[in-house]
Amino acid sequence: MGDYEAIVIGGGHAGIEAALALARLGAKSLLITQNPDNIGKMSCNPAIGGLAKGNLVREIDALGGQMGILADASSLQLRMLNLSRGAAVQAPRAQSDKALYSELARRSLEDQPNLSILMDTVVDIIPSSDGRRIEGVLTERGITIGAKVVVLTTGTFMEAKLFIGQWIGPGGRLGEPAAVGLGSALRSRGFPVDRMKTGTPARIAASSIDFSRLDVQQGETKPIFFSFLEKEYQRPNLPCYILWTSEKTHEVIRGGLDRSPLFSGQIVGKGPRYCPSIEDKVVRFPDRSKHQAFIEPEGQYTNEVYLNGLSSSLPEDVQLAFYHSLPGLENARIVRPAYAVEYDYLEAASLYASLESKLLSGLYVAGQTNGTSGYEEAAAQGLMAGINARRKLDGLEPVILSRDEAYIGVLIDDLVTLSPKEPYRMFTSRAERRLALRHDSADLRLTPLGISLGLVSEERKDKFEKRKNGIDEIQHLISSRRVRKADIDTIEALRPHLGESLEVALRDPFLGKVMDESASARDFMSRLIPEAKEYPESSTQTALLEARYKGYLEKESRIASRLDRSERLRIPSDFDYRAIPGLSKEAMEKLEAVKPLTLGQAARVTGVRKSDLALLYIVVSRGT
Amino acid sequence: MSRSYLDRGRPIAALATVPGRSALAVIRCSGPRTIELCAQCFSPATALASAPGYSMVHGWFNDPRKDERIDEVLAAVFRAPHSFTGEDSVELYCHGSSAVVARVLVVLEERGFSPALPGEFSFRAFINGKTDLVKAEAVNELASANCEAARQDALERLSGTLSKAYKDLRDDLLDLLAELEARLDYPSDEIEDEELEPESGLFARLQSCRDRVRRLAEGYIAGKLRQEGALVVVAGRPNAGKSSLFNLVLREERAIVSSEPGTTRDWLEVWVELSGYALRLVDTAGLRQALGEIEAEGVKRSLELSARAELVLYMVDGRKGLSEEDLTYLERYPEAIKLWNKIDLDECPEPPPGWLGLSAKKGAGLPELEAAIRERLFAIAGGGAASQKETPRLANARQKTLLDQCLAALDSAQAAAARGLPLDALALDIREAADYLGQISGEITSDEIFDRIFGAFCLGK
Repeated sequence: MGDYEAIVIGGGHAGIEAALALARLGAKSLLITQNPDNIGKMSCNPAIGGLAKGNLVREIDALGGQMGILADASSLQLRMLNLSRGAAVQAPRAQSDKALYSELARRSLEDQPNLSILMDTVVDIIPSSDGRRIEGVLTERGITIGAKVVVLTTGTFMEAKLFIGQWIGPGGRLGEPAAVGLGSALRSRGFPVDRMKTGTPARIAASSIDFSRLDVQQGETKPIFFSFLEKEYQRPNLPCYILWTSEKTHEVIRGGLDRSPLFSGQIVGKGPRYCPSIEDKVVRFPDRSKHQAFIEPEGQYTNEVYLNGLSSSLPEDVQLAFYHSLPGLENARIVRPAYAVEYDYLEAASLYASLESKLLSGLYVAGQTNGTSGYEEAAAQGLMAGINARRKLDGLEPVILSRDEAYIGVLIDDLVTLSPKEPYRMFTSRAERRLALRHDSADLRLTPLGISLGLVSEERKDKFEKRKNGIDEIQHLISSRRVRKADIDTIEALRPHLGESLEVALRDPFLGKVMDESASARDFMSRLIPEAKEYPESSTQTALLEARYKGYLEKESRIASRLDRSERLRIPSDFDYRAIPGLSKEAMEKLEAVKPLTLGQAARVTGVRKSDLALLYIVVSRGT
Repeated sequence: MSRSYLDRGRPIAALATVPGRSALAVIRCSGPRTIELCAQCFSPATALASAPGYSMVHGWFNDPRKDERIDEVLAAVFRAPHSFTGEDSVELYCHGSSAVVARVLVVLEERGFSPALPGEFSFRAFINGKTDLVKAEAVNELASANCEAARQDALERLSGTLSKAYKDLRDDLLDLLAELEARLDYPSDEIEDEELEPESGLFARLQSCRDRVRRLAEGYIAGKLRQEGALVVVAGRPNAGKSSLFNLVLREERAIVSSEPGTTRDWLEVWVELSGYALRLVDTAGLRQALGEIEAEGVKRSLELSARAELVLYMVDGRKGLSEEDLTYLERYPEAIKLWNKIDLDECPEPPPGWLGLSAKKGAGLPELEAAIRERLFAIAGGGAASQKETPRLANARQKTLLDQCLAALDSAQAAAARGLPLDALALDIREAADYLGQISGEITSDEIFDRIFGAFCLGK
C-alpha cells in the first residue's frame, strides 16, 4: 500500500480541513474514507454559519482553510443574523446546496497536490512497539498503512446506531454503514471512549407542501461573504418558510412517546440540550401551545426540503401524523424520516490543546469525535489538528490559539478542559472577549499567522494586505477629522458633536443607528469623507466598527487582562497536585486528569471549587 | 515570610486575647494532630485526647520536657470539621499573665506548633469552606468592634446577612446576564419570542440591582461610623470652656473605651460611648492656645480636623458673645452644634435662638447636648441594627471599593440601555458588575485577595 507521512481518517468537515492543511504544508498525506462520494456531506441542516459558528468559519478562512470558500460557492441564501443586537454578536449564515457543497469539497481534495484519497474503513490504529507513538492504521480489508501522524475524524460513525421509533439499525448516517471496529479497538487500547447522541429532522417532498399557507423568509440582497477572498459566485437566492406547531401536533407527539427510543431508555448517549428534538420540547415545555419551525431547501436541484426545529426519533407513523398536523403539510410525504444517531466519542480531556492525544504521540483527534456538534466546530478542529500534525512531523511547537484571539481558541480550550459530556456547540457567550472576536475582524486577527504558517495563498495575502491598508487609511481619515457644520446638514445626529473629533463622535450610539440604517458602511462614510468611496465596503465596515466599539473594546480588554494574569499563570506540566494539602479530592482527580497548562484552564475544569483554585493560585504563583 | 499560609500540614497556635495582664487568656491551637499534641502537655492526658468535640476538659498544662506544671487550665476541644477552621482545634483558657502565656506558647512550639501568621486561622477557615470572605472579614470586624452598634453590625455580617445580600445581587445580575446572553446566542429564528422577557422588564431589573448596590454602598458611611466611631470635634476660641466640657464628660463616668493623653497627640481626645455609638471626642483647645508660628499651624490643623469630623461642637463663652472669628468659623461649618457656655454665671445672657445653653462647669444642659448629638448621629448612621434589616451595613473599605466599581459598571449599563447601545455592549457592563461582586465574596479569585485580606487580621483570629 505504501506509507505516508500523514493519514486522515474520515472525509467529513474536520477531515477535509485536516487533510488540506497537511497537504498544503507539504506533508505526503492520505485521506481514508468509507466512501469518496460522501466527502463533505452535510448530515443535518443545509446551512453553514450562524451566531459564533459564522465567526468560526471566517476564522478558518482567515487561516487559509476551505470551509468559507465552499460555503460562498454553494449558497442558496445568505443572511446576517442579529443585526439589531450589536456588531459583536452578528454573524453570517448561508443556506447551502448540500450536493454542490459536497461536490466542491471533494474536488478541492482531489485537486490538492500531496493528497491521496482511499476508500476503506479503518478498524484499528497501530502503535509503536513501545506503545508510545502511532505508526499507522489497519483497515477493514486487513491492509496496514504506515504514517508518522494520524488525524482521527470519524464524526458520528464510530460504532454508530440509528434510531427511528423502535427500529434500531447500524449506521452513521441514514443509508451509510457505521465504522465498526475502531471504537472497540480504541476502548480496548485504553482510550476514554463514551457515547453521545444527536438527531436530525425529516426531509419532506417539497411538491407535497402547500407553501402558499406559510410565511416566507427571504435572504438578503446585500453581498455577504464567509471568505475574505470575497469571490462572487452568482448564486441563487431561495426562500425559507416559517411555520408553527399546534396543540394538535403536541397531542400526536405525546401519543407516540411510549415508542420513543429517547424516553424508553434505548438511547444511552447524551444529546445536545440546545438543539432538542421536538418530543423533547413538548415534554420539557408542557405549557407552550406552539413551537416554531422552518422549511429550508436541501439543494437547488432536489425536491427535498429540511424541517428545521423538528428533529425527532419517533416512529415513522407518528412522525407522519404530526407533520400532517402542520399548516401546509397536511399532505406532506416523507422522503427521509427523522432519526437519532448514537455514536462513540473520545473524551477530549485526553487531548492536549494541540489536539494531540496524551496517550499516544502522533495521534490527533478532531471534530465530532471529540464531542462537538456542528460542521463549523468540526472544521475548526480539523484545521488545527492538521496544522499541528504537520508541525509535529517537523518537530515544531504546536500552534495553540488563545481564547482572546479566536473562537477556535475558545473552542479547543473548552474541549480539552471541560471535556464535554454532551455535544458541544459554540456560543458567543463562551468567549470572554466577544467584542474583539467579531467575524469581520477574523482576518486581522489570524491571517498574519496563516501567512507565517505557509497556509495562505498569494492571492489571499495580497487581498489581506490591501484590506488591512484600507482599514488603516480609513481609520486615519476618521481620526484626523473634526465634525464640521456641513456634516450636520448631511447627518443631523452629528449636531451634538460639532467641533469634536469624528473618531470620538462615532462612539455615539445614535450615530450607530444612522450607520445601521445606511445602505452600506461605505455609503455612510462617504457622506462625511468623499475619499472613503475609494475603499471596499468590508474595509470601511471594519474601520467603522472599530471606532464604534473602541470604548467597549478597551473595557473588555481591561476586564480580560485582569483575568489574564491568572489566566496566563502557567502550571508546570509535571505539577504534583497531591502536594497541595487541603485540595479537595474531586479537584485533585480532575486536575490530575486534565493537567491544565494555566490557572485559567484549571478554573474552568468542572468540579474545581473556588477554594481549590485559591490554593492552587498561591502555590503556583509563589512557587512554594 | 519564612513560612507560608499554605503550609497547612503543621498545626498552628497563637494567643487569641489581648496581650498583657487580664483575668484569663485564650490560646487557640488548630491543625493536624492538635488534640494529640496538646494532650502531651496536659494532665490528665487521656481525658483531653479522648474528649469529644464541643467539650471542655479541666486540668493542668505542663512542660513535658521538664515535667513541670505551668498553669491550671480549661481546654475546649473541637473536632474536624466542626470547628472555626474546619480542623481539629483546642482552645486553652489559662490565667492572663504574660509569663504564663509565654511559657504555654514556648511549650506548644516545642511540641510542633508554629506561631500563627496574621489571619491564618481565618485563612484556614476560608480554604476549608467554613466561611466566605465577607464573613471572614466580619470576624475581624466583630473582634475590633468597640461599641454596641459596631458589634451588632458585625454580628449581623457574621451571621451571613451581608454575604447573602451580595450573593443575591450577584445571582440576580447573572440571571439578567443569562437573559441577555440568550438573545445574543440565538438568532431570532432559533429562540422563540415568548420565551424572552421584554427588554423593558430587563431594564427594570437592571435598575433594581443598581439601586440595591447603591444602598449597600451608602450603608458604608453608617457602617464605618458605627465600626470606627464618630469623630466629634470640640472647637471654639480660647477659654470658651472646652476643657471643662471634656472634664464634665469624663466625670460623668461614661464607658470610656480608651483615652489617649496629649503626650502622644497634639490634641486631647477621649473615646466615649453614647446611645450605642462610639464617639471620639477631640478637644482642639491646646492648639489654639499655642503662640506664634506654632499657633498658626495649630489653627490650620484644627480646621482640618473639623473638616473631617462627623460632628463639630462649637462653643462660645456666653458672657463674651459672638466675635468675628466665631462667625467666620460657623460660616464654614454651619452644621455645627452651637454651645452657649457658662449660663450658670449671672452676667451670662440668655442663648440666642439656635444656640444650646450649657454650663460645662456645673453640668447644666448636658442631657440636651447628648440628645442633640444622638439625633445628629442617628441621622447619619441610622439606629440599631434591627431598624435597617433590609440593607445590612458594611464597614470594610475593600468591599466598599469593589461595590463602588460595581456601581460604576451598572451606571454605565443603565446609560447604555437608555441610549440604545446594542446588547453586546450592555452585557459587558453587567458581566463586569457581577465580576466585582464575585470578588467581594471571594467567588472570583483575584491576586489581591490573600495579601490584602488576610494580612489585615490580628493574630489568633
